[in-house]
Amino acid sequence: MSAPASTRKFPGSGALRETGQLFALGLDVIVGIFKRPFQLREFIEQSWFIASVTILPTALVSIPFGALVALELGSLITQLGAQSFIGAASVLAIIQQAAPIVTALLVAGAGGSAICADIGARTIREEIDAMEVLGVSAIQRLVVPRVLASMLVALLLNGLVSVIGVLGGYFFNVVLQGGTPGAYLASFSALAQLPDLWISEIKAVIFGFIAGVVAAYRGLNPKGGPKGVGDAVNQSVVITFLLLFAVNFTLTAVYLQIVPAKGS
Amino acid sequence: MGAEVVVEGLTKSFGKQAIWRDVTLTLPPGEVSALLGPSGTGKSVFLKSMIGLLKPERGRCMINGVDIVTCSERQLYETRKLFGVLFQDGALFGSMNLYDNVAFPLREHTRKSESEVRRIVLEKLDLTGLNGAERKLPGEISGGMRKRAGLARALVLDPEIILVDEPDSGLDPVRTTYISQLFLDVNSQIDATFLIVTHNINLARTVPDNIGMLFRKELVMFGPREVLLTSEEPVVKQFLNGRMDGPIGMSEEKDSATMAAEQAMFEAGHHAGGVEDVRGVPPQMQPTPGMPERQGARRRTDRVMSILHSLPRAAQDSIIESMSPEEQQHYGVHAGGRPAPSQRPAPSPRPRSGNGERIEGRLDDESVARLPGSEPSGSERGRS
Repeated sequence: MSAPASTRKFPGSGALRETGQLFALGLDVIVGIFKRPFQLREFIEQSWFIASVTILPTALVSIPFGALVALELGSLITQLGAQSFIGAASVLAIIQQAAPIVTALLVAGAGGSAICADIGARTIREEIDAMEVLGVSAIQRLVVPRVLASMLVALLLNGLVSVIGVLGGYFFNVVLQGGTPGAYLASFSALAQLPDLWISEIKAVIFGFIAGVVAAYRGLNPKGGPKGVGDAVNQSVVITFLLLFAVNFTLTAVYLQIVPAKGS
Repeated sequence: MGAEVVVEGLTKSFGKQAIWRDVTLTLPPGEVSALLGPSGTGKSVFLKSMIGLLKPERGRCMINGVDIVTCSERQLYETRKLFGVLFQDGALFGSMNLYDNVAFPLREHTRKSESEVRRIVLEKLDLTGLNGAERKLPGEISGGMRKRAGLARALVLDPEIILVDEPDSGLDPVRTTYISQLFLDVNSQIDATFLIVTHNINLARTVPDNIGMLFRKELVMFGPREVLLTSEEPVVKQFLNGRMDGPIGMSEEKDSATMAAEQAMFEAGHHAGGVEDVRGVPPQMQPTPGMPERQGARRRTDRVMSILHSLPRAAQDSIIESMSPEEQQHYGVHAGGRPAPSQRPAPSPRPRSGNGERIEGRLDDESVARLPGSEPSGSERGRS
């Protein structure tokens, strides 16, 4: 229950309140996931929609990403004389870091912005109010399926990005830099290990959740009128990006503590 | 029968800005009430507070024993099922056609078969004159149709309380009257409690049983229609006449200097607006012939007669005048006179419903709408 009369103002209180409300929405969504009835239809529609707007751009972004890693590492590692480890390094970089981030950026940029705009438009047209008044929880009916959909799509896209990124790296290394195909493939498991794949997928799911919740939160609270919706979409993407990098840093640090790097 | 809504001491503010303070009123079950007030006095905010979309800081809003202001989320969602709300623009779901929009509450809250849903939806669409438009999207129809579709959706669960936010906005006078007629017909059929928020004077004068008015962050008055329509309160008179001379200004209220300056202007011959002198109590609109009698109106007559002595003189006269000679005789009053306070009229005979249960106002005298500040004396309370 909010009691604005008793809240005090101090510098930064606004930011804290927003953060708290965002967090509260995240908790509501988690609770809502386990509540019946589950909105299967909405979930499938949203999954399909987010997938359809993200698959192509993700694939297109991940090719140069793999190539970039291969190129950057290639020249450095060749000087060190460890050319046979290029494959190992690029697999590690792509699977552990690049794939979840690229996935999340695109889920947030393409899917999240659409979710935010959709919910924001519904909010200013009083559709959300109308739904609440009809005794239907908007979080349960609209937000939960969208968040779940962005989590699912992030999970699946992450696999796609990993594969395409590695293929891109392979192509650039072998075809353009004159690397040895056998060495590239053989060194795959030199540095990378199975938990890297797990953390990659876990990251993708968490990032998908963040993207969905932030988009929904900004969409449910636009500041006044259609322009407010536009601002909300903009903010949702920026907030998601900032959160992603912070969360990614934390997750990576924790992961490296729990699972020691191979060979150490 | 419709549910009774008891609002006590409700106060709402956004940040430091108070919207209204200490609003106390009771919406009698099954009666049509209207809430008037200049733009920006928080009428819509009041409506949203009643359904828990906004949380007032203080006060209570009791519906069937549930306090909307403090109840749990689960209770809130349960209680909201009693409500049908018509938003200003209809608030239809833009991605669904009219049929799915109207069917939405049924599909969410009932386990009715699709054929039954279809029957109910088509019935409500027929009621609101939207035959043949069920496949249209909300974006493809006019504002008036959206409004009617919103009403159809609000009616589909047979609500006990219907809240209407500015039924006239975006509608021409004729359609406004038609939609008012629709409200009364619906009221006579399902006996729901209505609250209409409006600033349409024609509607306010002819449709509701009770009228309230918000001004200067307060509920100026709430009571039987005759009280407000015969009121000599400057703000009420100004509002009903739509004139410039009076306490209501362009922005908020006027200060005395502005008022004096304007007064001088009007005395010098400047037109203060308004076409004619709106006064008196026009006859109330009735349900279309063939509709059942409004139970709410019947209960209201009993209720008003029981508090008649506490009303202003002009309102009393107007109420008595509006009654048929038989009714006057039944309640023991005659035009120009007033009943002795001790003569409590017996409630008029009520019809019995099919199963023999008495259909009766479940409202005790203490909780019926009263004028703020005018308590009925102790001897008047309680039925004999």
